[in-house]
Amino acid sequence: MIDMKNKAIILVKNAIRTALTNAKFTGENTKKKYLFIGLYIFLVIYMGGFSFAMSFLMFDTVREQASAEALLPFIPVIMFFVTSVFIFATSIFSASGVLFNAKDLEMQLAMPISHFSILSCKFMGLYFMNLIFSLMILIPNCIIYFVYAPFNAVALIGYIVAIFIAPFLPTLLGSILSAIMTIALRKFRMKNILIILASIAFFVVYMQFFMNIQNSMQYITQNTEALFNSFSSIYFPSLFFYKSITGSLVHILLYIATSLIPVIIVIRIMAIYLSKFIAAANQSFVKSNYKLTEQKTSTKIKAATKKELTQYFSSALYVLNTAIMLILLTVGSIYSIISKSGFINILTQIIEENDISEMFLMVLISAITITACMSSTTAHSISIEGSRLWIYKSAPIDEKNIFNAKINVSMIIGLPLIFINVVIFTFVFDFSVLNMLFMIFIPSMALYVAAITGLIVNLAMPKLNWTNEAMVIKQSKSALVSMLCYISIALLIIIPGFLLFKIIDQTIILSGASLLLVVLFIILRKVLFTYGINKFNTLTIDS
Amino acid sequence: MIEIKSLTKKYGKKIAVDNLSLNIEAGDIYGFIGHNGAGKTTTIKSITGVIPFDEGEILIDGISIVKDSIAAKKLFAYIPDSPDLYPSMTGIKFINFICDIYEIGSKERQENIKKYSDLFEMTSVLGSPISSYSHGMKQKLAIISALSHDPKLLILDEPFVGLDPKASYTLKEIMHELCNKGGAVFFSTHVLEVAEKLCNKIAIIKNGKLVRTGATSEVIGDNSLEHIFLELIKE
Repeated sequence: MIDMKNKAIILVKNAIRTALTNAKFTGENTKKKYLFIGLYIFLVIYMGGFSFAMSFLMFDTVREQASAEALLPFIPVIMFFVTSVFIFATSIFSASGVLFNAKDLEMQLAMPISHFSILSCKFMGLYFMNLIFSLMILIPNCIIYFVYAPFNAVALIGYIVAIFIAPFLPTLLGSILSAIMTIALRKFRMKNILIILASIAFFVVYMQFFMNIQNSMQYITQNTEALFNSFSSIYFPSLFFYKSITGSLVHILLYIATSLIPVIIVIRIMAIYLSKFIAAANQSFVKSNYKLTEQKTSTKIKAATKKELTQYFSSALYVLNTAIMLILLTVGSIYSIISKSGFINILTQIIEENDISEMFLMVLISAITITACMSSTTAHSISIEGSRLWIYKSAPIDEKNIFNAKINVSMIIGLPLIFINVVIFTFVFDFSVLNMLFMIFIPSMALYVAAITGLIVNLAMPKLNWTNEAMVIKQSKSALVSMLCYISIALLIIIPGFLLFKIIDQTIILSGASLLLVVLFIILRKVLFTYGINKFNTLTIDS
Repeated sequence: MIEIKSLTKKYGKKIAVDNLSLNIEAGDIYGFIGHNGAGKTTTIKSITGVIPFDEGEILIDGISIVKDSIAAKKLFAYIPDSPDLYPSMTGIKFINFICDIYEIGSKERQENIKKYSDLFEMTSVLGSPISSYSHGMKQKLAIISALSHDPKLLILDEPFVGLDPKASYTLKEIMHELCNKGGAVFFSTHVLEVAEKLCNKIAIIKNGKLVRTGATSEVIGDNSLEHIFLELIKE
C-alpha cells in the first residue's frame, strides 16, 4: 500500500514533469533528449546572462552615487518586483492549464487522494516552473549584489531563501486571477481575441521598455529609493525581501510565513470547492435559438481558406507564435508616426549619426522581410489538423486547394501588415515609387516563399497525435526547423545585398533579390505540389 | 458500388488487412463485423482514402480511389467512429464547409440541412460552436453534414456509438431510404443485434482476413449472428 507521503511525492513528480513538459527528457531517443536539454541550458544561460548584464549595469551606476551603500539593496528589490510581476502575469495564462484543465485531473479526483493533496501538488508543479525563472533572474543579481555590497552571512542566507520563496505569492495571485477569469469568461466567445489583444499590449510595453532601455536604466538608477518605496507599498513582500537581504533573520522568517501561509489557506479553500469549480468551468453553453436562414455557397478554395482562418484565430497560442513580430513592427511604426517618437526616430538618429542613408532602404526592407518570414503560419498547419485530418482526406478536395488555403492564411495576415509598414516608411522617408514597390514586393514574396517552405517542412515532419496544441506550435521539430528556414530565406536575400551595395547599384541589387525570390518560389512550389502531395497522401494519425 | 480487390495494408511488419476482396452493390446495407484490431477501421479508411494501402484496388462506382480520388470521393460520405470536428466552427458553418467542398448549390443544401437537422433535432443548436457540443451532438452533426450533400454511398465506422435511441432509429430509417433510392450503406459495428436486423449482407473479418461473407440469412443460418461470430473468432 502506498501511504499518503509517497502518494504526494508521486503527484508532485507527475506535476513537475507535466508542467515542464518533461516527457521528451524521458523518451528513448537520446539524441532528441540531449538536444532539448541543450536548448533549455542555452535558454537558461541566455536569460542568466541577460540578468547579469542588467544587474551589473544598475549596480555600477548606483555605486557612483553619494548614498551608494544605502541604495544598493534597492536594486535587488526592483529585480525581485519585476520577477514577481512577470511570474504573476505568466501564471494567469499557465495556471488554468496546469491546475484546472489538466487532462489527468478528473482521473486524480476519482482516486483516494484528498483534493488538497491534488491541488497542492499541481500548484507545486506551477511553482517549480516559475522557480526556474526566479533562479535565472535573481541568482545573477545576488552574485553581483554581494560583489558590491558588504558581505553578511545572514544576508546571503536571506537572499537565497528569498529567491526560493519569491515565486509563491505571485503564482498564487496569478492562479486566483486565472480561476476568476476562467469562470467569468467561460460564456464569452471572444475570449481568444481578448487574450491575443492583451498579449500584444504586454509585448508592446515590453518592447517599449527595451527600445528605451538606456533611458529606463537611467531612470531606475536615479530614482532607486523612490521606486523601492512605490514597490513596497504596492507589493508588501518587497519590504520583507529587502529586510531579508540586509540581514534581518526575523524578516526572513516573516517573509517565509507571509508567503506560505496564504498559499496553504487559499489552496485549502480551493480544494473544498474544487469539484464545483471544475463543473462550472467545464460547463458548455449550447444556445438553442438558431433559426435556419438562406445559406450562401463558396468555392472550395474560399471555403477551405475560411476554415483555416477560423482555426487560426481560435488559438491565441497560434497567433502569438506567428504573427506577433510583424504586428509589433506595425504597431511600432504607427506609434512612431503618432507620437513622433519610437523606433523610427531611433532609426533616423542612427542614420544621421553614422551617415548610412544610402543603405537605409535595404535596412528597412530587411526588417520587414525578416518579420514577414517569421510570421508565416504554415509550419504547424498540417500538424494542427490532428485527429481531424480525416475530414480533408475523405472529402473531394484536391491537395493543391488544401495547401493553397493554408498558405492563404499567411498571406491574408501578412500582406496588409507589410503594406501598412511600407506606406508609413515611404511617407516618413520619402522613398520613390520604385523603391516603394521593392519594399512591397520583396517582403511579400519572401513571405510567400516562407509559407511554402513551412508547409513542406510540416509535411516532412508532421505531428498529428498531439493532445495539447502547445506540443505542435511551440515544441515540434517542424516549428524549430521552419524557423531556421525562415531566417535562412531572409538572410539569403539580405546578406548579399549588404555585401554588394557598395559595388553595385541598389536598384540592381533589389532587382536581383526579387528575381532570386521568384526562382525560389517556382522551385519550392514544384516541390510542394509533387513531394508535398505524396507526403500528404501518406499521412496518418500515427504520424 | 464498392469493389474491393485484394486489399492489403501493412503497418511495418504487421499485416492489418490481408488480401481482402469484397463487393458492395446498390441496395445493400452491408454490415462489417470483427473483433477489436481485426482490420475493420483500416479497411474503411482505405476505402475512403484516409489512409493509403499497399496492394489491391478499390473502385467506387468503377472509379479508382487512388487514380481519381476526387471523383470517387464525390460519391460517398464517410463518418469515422469518433468524429473529431473543428471545435471553433459552429455547426452550421461546418455543414456549409462540407457542402462547399462537395459543391452543393444553395437551394439543395438548404433543403437537406433543414430536413436532416430537424430529423436529428439539431436545428436550434447549429449556431453554437462545436466545442460546446456533447459527443452525441457531434456524432449527429457529422451525420447531418454527411447527408447534406446527398451521397449515393454511406461508409460509417461504428455509427451507432454515442447516438441516443431516437437518433439511432432515425439513422436506420435514413439507411433504408438511401438504399431504396439505389444507394448503399457499408458500416462496421460491434452491436451484432443491429447488424442482424438491419443488414442484408454481412462480412466477418478476423486478423485482417475475411472469414465469412454473404447474405445475412445465409451467414447466420439457423443460429444467431452472435453465435456464428463467436464460433468463427474461436477457430
